[in-house]
Parts: sequence; structure tokens; C-alpha cells
Amino acid sequence: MSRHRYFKDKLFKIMVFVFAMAGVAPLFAIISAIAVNGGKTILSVGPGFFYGLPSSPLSSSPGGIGPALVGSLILMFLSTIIGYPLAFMTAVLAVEFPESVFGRFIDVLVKSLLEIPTILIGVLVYSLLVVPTGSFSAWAGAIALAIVILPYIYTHVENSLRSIPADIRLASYSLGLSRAKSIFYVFTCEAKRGLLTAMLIGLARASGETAPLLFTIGGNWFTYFQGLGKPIGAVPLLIYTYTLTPYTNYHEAAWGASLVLLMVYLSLFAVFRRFSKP
Amino acid sequence: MNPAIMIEDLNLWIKNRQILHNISLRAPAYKITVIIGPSGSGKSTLLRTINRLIELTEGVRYTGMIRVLGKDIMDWDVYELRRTAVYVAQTPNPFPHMTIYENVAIGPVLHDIVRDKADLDRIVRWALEKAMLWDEVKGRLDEKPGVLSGGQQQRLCIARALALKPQILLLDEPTANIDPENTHRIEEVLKRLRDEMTIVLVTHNHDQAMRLADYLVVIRDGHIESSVKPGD
Ligand SMILES: Nc1ncnc2c1ncn2[C@@H]1O[C@H](COP(=O)(O)OP(=O)(O)O)[C@@H](O)[C@H]1O
Ligand SMILES: [Mg+2]
Repeated sequence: MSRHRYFKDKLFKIMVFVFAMAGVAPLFAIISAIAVNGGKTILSVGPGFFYGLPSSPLSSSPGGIGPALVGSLILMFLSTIIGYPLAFMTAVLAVEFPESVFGRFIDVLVKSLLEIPTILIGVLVYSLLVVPTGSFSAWAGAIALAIVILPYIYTHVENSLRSIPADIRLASYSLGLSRAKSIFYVFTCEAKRGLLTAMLIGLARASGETAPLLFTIGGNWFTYFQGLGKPIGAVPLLIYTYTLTPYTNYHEAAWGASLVLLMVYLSLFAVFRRFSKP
Repeated sequence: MNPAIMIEDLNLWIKNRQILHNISLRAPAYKITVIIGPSGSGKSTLLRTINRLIELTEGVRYTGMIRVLGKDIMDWDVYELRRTAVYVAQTPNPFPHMTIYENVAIGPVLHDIVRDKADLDRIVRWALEKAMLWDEVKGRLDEKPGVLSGGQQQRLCIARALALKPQILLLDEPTANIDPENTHRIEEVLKRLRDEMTIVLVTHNHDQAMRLADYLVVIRDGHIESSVKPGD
């Protein structure tokens, strides 16, 4: 190799490295800021941060985020329970019945949901559910979240159904299995990993969304779960609300809550990695 | 005796290109009928037409008549037809995420032809024995078929088909990519099955055709060139 080529090669490698670092630097900055500030809060409060109640605005302690954390878990669970079957059936329709006009229409419709600002979905649910019932509720939040996560789950389910090899499909049909049996027993088994991944993606999105909750859940930070028809808290909305207050101890609590959110995210990601390993 | 399969004047088009021309043939019951021809001559298409698997291919149109066990294939319930005349594909295609046991069991379970677990165990074992695979897999029924060699996987696919207790076995070049040892075994399996079911075997291997055929059909470019009984 000539010296000239050698240096060009070297230079190229350095440039790639520099740009890659520039790309991930903000991510590292965010994660380390959250880890440092959130870590401080959680260490100062202790385990009570996860299950305790918030403190009063001018007290010295950041207090706990128990109700919001439990609310988040309930909302994640509910919205996935609602959104997943809908997304799954829609994807089945689009992939397994490509000849149906309805299937193609649904495909376009669901994918365009990805483009809608999520706050509009919150407003929609507000006007259809919160106004008529006269109350913010866990239901309203779960439905808004379900609509938000539906297209993400759909995309992943669709991809994993589409990636089932043609010879596996042939094998299923050559055993005389009907389309329904092939889909629900053979294809879901063969696409198991992708289908689970889709669920984790749904949970992860549901855990982090704020906008769809603004007009739906009513942000209940002080009492644990009251029922599906009652207001409920959620960690991302707590972070948003606390950050807007002028109180230092609430800002500290928001940092701690951010770290909790990040940990929820990372643990879902870790499970995701386990499933996506071949 | 009535032929198990009777094809009369079959013409078939895929996307308006004619693939099969005026095919007429009979596959006698409890015999091995071998269809031999160069690749691209329409063997797989013909085999998949018999149990209507071809309908999964886009743009297929055909004329003529096919009777399976005396009944027009259009009068059959299509899933019942495919279970009665099972197709085994050219490349082994076991379900990779199911265990060896599940691969064989899934047909009988989903067709509701087992009474209980013991019954299912019996059918799975019977099918694996028939496919001469039992001794090689009996200790690892819970493993995935990925641990098996290509030849073993093909015998697993034959066992999976046999577990449906079919009356007709449609085999598409079952030894095409398989070593001589496994080829020999699969041929042995087929010879032993001959008394129990009707077999239609597609191959492009002349020697194999001679070893197995009770009846031999030669196909070229979608036409039947000759149809003989070897030894005549
Ligand atoms: N899905 C398909 N679409 C278009 N042409 C096809 C399709 N399947 C098979 N053919 C054509 O039909 C002819 C016969 O194919 P095939 O039945 O697979 O032959 P063989 O099994 O004898 O090799 C070939 O010319 C092939 O190109
Ligand atoms: Mg072929």
C-alpha cells in the first residue's frame, strides 16, 4: 500500500470516529446528566423515592413518586392490552389478506397514525371520553396511549409476519391447515420473537409518552390507584408538571423521576435484546 | 382398481404463460408413480395442482379434470384434500421454532385426529418410525430441527406428513440435495410405505426412478412424453 493511500485510509478512519462520537455525544450528555442529578435525588430520598408520596412544595425533601410510578405501570399495561390485539389483527389483515382492499386501506390508515402529533390524539380522547364522562381517568389515558402505540406495534408485527419464509408458509398449507390455523398456530410461533419485540416496543413507547396524557389522566400525584374511572398519575407527566413549577425540591424529584423512566426504558431494552438474539 | 389419482386433459397457465399442456395420467393405488423430467419442466407445478396447493401461487388458471380417490378435486374440502394427499416439498422445510416432536404433532393436533396425549405420542412415534428417523431423534424430541442434518430434516418432513395418516403422498424431489446415505434411507422408507399408501414421486434422477417406479411418467416442457411401466 502506498504511503499516500495509507494516510488517506487513516484520515478516513479518524473522520468516521470523530463523526460517530459527535453523533452519540448528546446521548451520553443526556444520560450522564440524568444519571448524576437523578442519582443524587434517589440517594438522598432512599428507596422511599419509588413508593413514597410527594412532599409539600417548600419542604427540603424531593419526596417520592410512588403513585405516578404505579400509574405509569398500570397505563403501560392497559394501553398494551388494548393496543396490541388491535395492532396484531390489523397486521394480520394487511399481510395475510393482501388481496383485500380493506387490508390495504387499513395499512395506509394505521401508518398515517405515525405522523399525527400525539397531543392531537390526547385532545381527541379528551373530547370523546373525558368531556362526556366529566372526569379525567385512567381509561382515557390508556386509550389515548393505545392509539399512540398502535402504529408502532403494527409496524413490528407486520414486519415479523412478512419475514416468515415462503417455504414455511408452504409447509403449513401443505399440511392442510386453513389460513386461520396457519396464522394463529404456525406463523405466530415462527414469528414469536418479533411478536414479543413488538410488545416491548409498545410498552416502551407507552412508558415515555407525555402529550397524550396531558388532557386525559388528570395527573394524580398524591393517591395511589383509585379505579379506572378516576384520575391517575404517570411518570412522564409528573416530570413535565414538576419542571414547570418554581420549586427546587420538585425539580430534584423530576430528575429522579427521569432516572426512573430511563431505567424502565433500559430494562425493556435489555429484555428486547434478549429476545432479538437469534 | 380405480386409480388413486386421475388427471384428464390438464392445461395450466401461470400469469398467462402455459406451464402444463394436455396432461393426462393415472396414479394407481398402492403403487409408486414416478414423474421424471428436467428441471423447469413443470413437475412441481403438476404435483401441487393435484392437492390444489397451486392455488397459493398468484395468477394460476387451469382447465381439465383431476379426480383424487374418485372425487373431483373441486368437490373436495380443500383442507381435507391437502391432508389426504400430502405434499412434501423439495427443500426440507421443518418449522424451525417448533421442537422435533411439535413438528410431527402439529398436523394431528390441528386436524383434531387425536384423542389424548398418549394417542398423540403414539402417532408421533409411529410417523417417526415410518420415516426411519425414530432411532436418531428419540432422545431429543424436545430439540429444534436445526440440530438435524439435511437428510434427517427431510425425513422429519416426511414424518410430519405421515402423521396426518394420508392416503396419498406427493413427494417433490425428496432427495435432491441429500447425501447418498440419506437418499438410500429415504428410498427404503418409500418402498416400505408402498403397501400402505399411494405415492407420487417427482425426481430428475434416472437411476432413482428405475429403482422405485411401478409406473414411470416422463415430462418435458409441460408435456407428457411417455408413460410406461418399467420392465415392459
Ligand atoms: N410462481 C411462479 N410464477 C411464474 N412462473 C412459475 C412459477 N412457478 C413455476 N413457474 C414456471 O413454471 C415452470 C415449471 O416450474 P416447476 O413446476 O417448478 O418445474 P420443475 O419442478 O419441473 O423444475 C418453470 O418454467 C417456472 O419458471
Ligand atoms: Mg421442482
